[in-house]
Amino acid sequence: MTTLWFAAALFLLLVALYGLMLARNLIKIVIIIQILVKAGMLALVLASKVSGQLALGQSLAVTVIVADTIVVVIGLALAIRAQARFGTLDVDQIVALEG
Amino acid sequence: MSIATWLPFLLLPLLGLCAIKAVQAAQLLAAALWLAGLSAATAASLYLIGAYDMAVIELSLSLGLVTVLLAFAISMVGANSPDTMLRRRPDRALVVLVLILMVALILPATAVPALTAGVDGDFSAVLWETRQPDILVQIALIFAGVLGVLRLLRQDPDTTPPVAQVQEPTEADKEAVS
Repeated sequence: MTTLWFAAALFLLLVALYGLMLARNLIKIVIIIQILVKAGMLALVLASKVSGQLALGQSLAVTVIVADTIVVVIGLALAIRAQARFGTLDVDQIVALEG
Repeated sequence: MSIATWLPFLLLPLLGLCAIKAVQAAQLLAAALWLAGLSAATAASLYLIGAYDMAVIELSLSLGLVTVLLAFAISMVGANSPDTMLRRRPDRALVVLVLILMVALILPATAVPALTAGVDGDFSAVLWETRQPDILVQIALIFAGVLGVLRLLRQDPDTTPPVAQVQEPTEADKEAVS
């Protein structure tokens, strides 16, 4: 059963990496980063449970979640500013702009 | 057969399905909703593993706060803004390589011992006493995030229209009134 949980975390990681390779929308990239962090957090809690230190693993995972939420807030604010400034959320078009 | 026995076999495919649909969704709002479903499945998974406190935090922060933030941001940029994911089929060689990597990484995990039963320490004691620096870092991060957002979303003074100034009436205006 433990292997299945680790496999699920690994699958989430691979799906997120695949999505990051293809996504071009800024908000979509923020969403995919959330999937990435969930995979890491799930693996962290699993490892702490296996090693018998679940309380320590949970306290570390709380820090990860808080930092991840701040990343979401800042990322979305940047996306809103990019939309107002460049008129698009497509990262390829934003990079192609010459200021 | 108890619920704890068969529920993981329901949650694991749900985790994968929500992640894949969130990545594939063409509309941003649909992707945000699939992410909310993934957060719910993750919270249930954490509860089944035994991390009850983390399950509650995952529900409140990821499912609650992050979903609301995403919905707010999507409404600001336009709910009909589609994702411009590259519309092409993935290379078969790449898919085979990814599958080989998955198997190569999962096989060593089969040697992992089973989840330990019983109490694994007091979460609140570890969080508030042992990991106090982490709490201070989190507080600093939250303040930094708030200040960053306030600065990012502040209206640019160059684009903000000036406030109309009241002009004193001229002599011609006074004569016209009289």
